[in-house]
Amino acid sequence: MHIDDTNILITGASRGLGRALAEALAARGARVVMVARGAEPLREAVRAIREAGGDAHALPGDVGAPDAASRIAGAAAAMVGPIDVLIHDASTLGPVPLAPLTETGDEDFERAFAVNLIGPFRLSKAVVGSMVARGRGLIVHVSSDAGVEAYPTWGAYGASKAALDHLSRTWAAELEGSGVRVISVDPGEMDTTMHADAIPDADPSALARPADVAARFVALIERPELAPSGARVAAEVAA
Amino acid sequence: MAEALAPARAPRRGARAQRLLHVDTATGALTDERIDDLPSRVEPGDVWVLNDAATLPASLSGGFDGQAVELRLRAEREDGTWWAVLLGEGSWRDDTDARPAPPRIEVGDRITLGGRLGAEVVEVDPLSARSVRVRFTPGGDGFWRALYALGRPVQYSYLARELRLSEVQTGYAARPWSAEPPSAGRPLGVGLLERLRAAGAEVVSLTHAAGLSATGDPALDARLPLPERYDLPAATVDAVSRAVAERRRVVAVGTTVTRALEGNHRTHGALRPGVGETDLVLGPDTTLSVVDALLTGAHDPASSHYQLLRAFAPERLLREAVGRSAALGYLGHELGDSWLIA
Repeated sequence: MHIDDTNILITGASRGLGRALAEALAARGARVVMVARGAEPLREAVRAIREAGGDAHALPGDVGAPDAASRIAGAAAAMVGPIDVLIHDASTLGPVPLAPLTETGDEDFERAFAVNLIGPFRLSKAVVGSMVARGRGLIVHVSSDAGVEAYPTWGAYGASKAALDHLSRTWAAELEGSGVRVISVDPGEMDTTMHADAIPDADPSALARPADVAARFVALIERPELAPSGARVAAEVAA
Repeated sequence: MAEALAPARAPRRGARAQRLLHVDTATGALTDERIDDLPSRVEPGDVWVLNDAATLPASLSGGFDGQAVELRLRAEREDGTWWAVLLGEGSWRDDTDARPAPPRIEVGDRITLGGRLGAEVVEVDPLSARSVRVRFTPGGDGFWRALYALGRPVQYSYLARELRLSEVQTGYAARPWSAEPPSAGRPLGVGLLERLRAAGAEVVSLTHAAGLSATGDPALDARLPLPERYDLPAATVDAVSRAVAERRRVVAVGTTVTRALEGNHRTHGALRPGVGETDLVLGPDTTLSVVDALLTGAHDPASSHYQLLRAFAPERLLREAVGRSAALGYLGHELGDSWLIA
């Protein structure tokens, strides 16, 4: 898919990979609508893109809130037009330091699923019909290694990402032949606030920079042969 | 004999539950089916045209001059101002026609709408003091953020409960232009659209900004539907024009699609792509130049929508369709069952 002149909706876009993706895609000529809970960091991220000549729009919102999806989808389309690419980057680890399942609160487990799984389901549902009607579109789920491997203390997050991967495959199966591609991408370990929250003693120099990972995402968006619909790929395949 | 249809008071789960009366205008035959059977009604070479307008959260609660008011968005103008209708205090459970009149309002007055959102009156319609053109502050993205945070979809007094924004959208809603839902397309989910295509239909879209169905002011209601904006993509013009030239069937999903296509054709003498506005009002005297068949909600003679359907079928057949629908327990109004008039 050509990125120039497309309308892209990105959640979790005020920092880390989401922000780097918004910057990379806006630099390639996309109109980006950026969703995040914190209005102030979001405004700052949008300002930076606009100062660089990009077309970015701030849309504060919590993807884990029950009535958020139709409001996010509607406001985004009002700002830029029908959405061509939807990137589900927002996710929550839950309380840090991470705790084993026996010490994970029910509400925290539910919140991880609300943000990491149910929110993306609802938002995709609000957007995908217009993609099918136009015969084109792309939905990207940002996944994690924790959705494949079972790491102690990563239970809620890991289970939600495993479910997200399955959701992605199911969307792809149902949308086969519609012109809409649905993929799941594991970005790998990155030097982000989230990573520092989860693993405070990691050596940042050993981690990938979000901007470099974002560049690989751009290649995955542009080149379907690297990540056909239904695939779960590591961002590294586009290195 | 025509009767009234009971309103559907809540959204039904799943398209399969919705009913479809096939109204054959050539033979007069009425056939009771399910919306799920729609693909079997596709004829080779059909072009089905959707209205992809998403429905705005067009109802804003506010205050003016110490009184509670409701501001209902009707249509956006190119300069970013909006035509809107001001209603007096009350809730969606009250029939719009029974709502008290709003306070008297003049150019320059400001309506407060919660948060930082405000609306300044820049024009009052000479025909109705409640029909106003307003400029919102903030404008631009700030307006959209505020509207989607504060606004609710327009409700109907017959509903069992308030509808959420997600519940008033069609499955393929793309551009938020409509004050009220283009409801004929409600039962067409993604799966059904794909099956229509698999059955041989070419499915294309346009965007038509459906306005309000009621304003509470008889002088204004008598003028409904007011002129409405549409956008006709070049690909849709190509598909529909080829079908017309080759005498293949053009099926409009909803009267808004019919209005856009026939209005555009009437203005230009042929279909022409782009943004336009039409004041065409469908009725028994309308000559259809483009559209052959209509998927619509079931409507009884008491609804204003019923008159629009007379462009597609004679009064006698429509009355038979109402009678049969009522006898079969079909539900009417915005969330109701469907008719395919073909």
